[in-house]
Amino acid sequence: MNPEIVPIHRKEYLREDGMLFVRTDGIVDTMVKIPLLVASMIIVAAVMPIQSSFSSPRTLDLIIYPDGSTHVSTEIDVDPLATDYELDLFGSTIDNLVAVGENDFLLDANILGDSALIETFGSSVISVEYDIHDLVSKQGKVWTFSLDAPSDFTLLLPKNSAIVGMTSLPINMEIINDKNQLTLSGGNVEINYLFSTPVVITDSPDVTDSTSQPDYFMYAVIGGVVTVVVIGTVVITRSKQKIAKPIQEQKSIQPIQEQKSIQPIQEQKSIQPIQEQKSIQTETIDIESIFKLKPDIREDDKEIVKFISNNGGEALESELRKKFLQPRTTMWRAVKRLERNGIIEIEKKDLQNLVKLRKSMEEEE
Amino acid sequence: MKTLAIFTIFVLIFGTTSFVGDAYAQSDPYILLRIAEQADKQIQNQLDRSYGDSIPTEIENLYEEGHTAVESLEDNLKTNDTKQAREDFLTAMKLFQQISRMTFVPTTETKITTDESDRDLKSELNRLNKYFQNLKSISEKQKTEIESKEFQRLFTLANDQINSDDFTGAAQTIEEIKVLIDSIKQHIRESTSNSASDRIKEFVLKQLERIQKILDKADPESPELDKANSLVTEIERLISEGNISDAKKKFGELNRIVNMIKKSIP
Repeated sequence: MNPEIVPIHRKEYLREDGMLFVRTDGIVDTMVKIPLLVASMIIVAAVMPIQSSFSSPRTLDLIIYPDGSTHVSTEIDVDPLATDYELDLFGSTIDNLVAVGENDFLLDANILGDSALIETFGSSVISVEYDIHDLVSKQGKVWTFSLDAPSDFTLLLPKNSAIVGMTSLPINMEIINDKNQLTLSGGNVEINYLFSTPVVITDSPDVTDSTSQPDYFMYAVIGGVVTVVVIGTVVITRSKQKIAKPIQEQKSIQPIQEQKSIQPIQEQKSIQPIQEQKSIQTETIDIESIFKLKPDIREDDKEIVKFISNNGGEALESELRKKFLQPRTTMWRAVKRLERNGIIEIEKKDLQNLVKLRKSMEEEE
Repeated sequence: MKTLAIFTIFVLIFGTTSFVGDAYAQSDPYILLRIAEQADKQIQNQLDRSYGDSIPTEIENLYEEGHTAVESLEDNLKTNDTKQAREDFLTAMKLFQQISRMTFVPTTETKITTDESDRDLKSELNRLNKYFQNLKSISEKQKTEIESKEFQRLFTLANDQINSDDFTGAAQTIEEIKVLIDSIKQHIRESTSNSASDRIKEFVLKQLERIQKILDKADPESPELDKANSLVTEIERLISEGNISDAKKKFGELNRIVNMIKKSIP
């Protein structure tokens, strides 16, 4: 009897889940001619880089000038058997185009709309440089660079420009002659930037901000008024004290002791620290109760609350900025946080924000 | 042989994936933080200038979100969560972009830089300088003399005029520079025309050999064949006469016909 011929893979048992497993050993040997496979793979491997390199830039570098015009430099691998190469430009407003072939021959190039026909005549690599006015647009203060890049590229931004928006991830960033140079991946890229003065970029409190100058003038006026009011109040109080002195002496000083006119003031002075101590104690308790009620309050916000409390329960936002050396928006955000937490309230006073500690916080809570 | 096949497969896999893999490879993720922080500060300063203490709530909320994303980006970088950091970066930059559009872009005004009024003379002068430097570099390699001194003189003059606010004078000087650069370019072309012609001649003759082989395989009954053969003869004649310009034109014509013939070859 002839034994039944069973294919090798039939010997494999089927698993319970019903999946069919097929032995792959020997398939390459039995079904494919190995030399053929190897040869074809080598050919594919050899041709692939050539195919991918033709018509794609080897390098692409862009420089944006302050007026938004852009200088493009690119190096491209081209077919050495072709007589010309049609280069897709990034727009149609082109100036100063120079195409150079191997051995630095100046190549003839005709610009036709948004492409340039370059006579390559046997060159395998060409480098092209041109200026273009289509890549950057300006709306208000915002400049927008947009490009659908065929490959990775570098972008040198103008001096004093600051990026304020970006739609893709940069590969790298370097500072070249005080300018930002980004390395970006191919594909759609949009970058928004603004021009700023170095003053704006720094966060230092010494920065002389032109918009803050009127504030100083206002402070000086307010300070002057406050000084006049304080001096006036002191003069009036003293004159009143002189008039009221005999009565005060009667009330506060024992008849046996003969006191000089200065004594009541001394007594007042000695009493004052006690009053201050009392008020500080009350305020400390208030602050502590606030902090107990609001345990999530940030440490820097706590400092602000303490300062307001020690300042008589209110302070101008500008005073807070000076005290904590914070830019306007940062302090504004902190104040807003405290307002949201119900710790403070903001009032407008002479075009300024007066920040007050809320007295009825507990009730509202 | 099996080993060789496996090795080839490995080479192919790693070789080809390297083409795909370079789509995004960031050198230092802290770059994202630098850019985001710079944008954050810039937006903060601009808001400060534009609104003072009265930033509109919508913008303030967007800024809060953006700033939080920057803080999160920093935190994620510290914990080496690069993926999340990238997302934070894109979120922050998108929000800052939104704020800048809402704040600094007037709804009525839209300007594209093709508008002449936006092109400042300094930038134009710098662009022309770069153009000149390119041509100078070509001329040096081709050993061609060009008017460098005259360019330098005009460039310095235009620069001084811009610095002294003489914009009319500067614009005139820039026009003179443009004329000079055009003449320099023309001069380089003429000076290198002999070597350029030789190069083209060499190329065309090589290509004619290749084309002749294609024509030999073509169907003798093909109507294009006669035309192609007569063009080959004509190009050879033009080249021998040194008429490279016409030879180039005829060569272009020949190429188109050869492509048609190629399609008909089985």
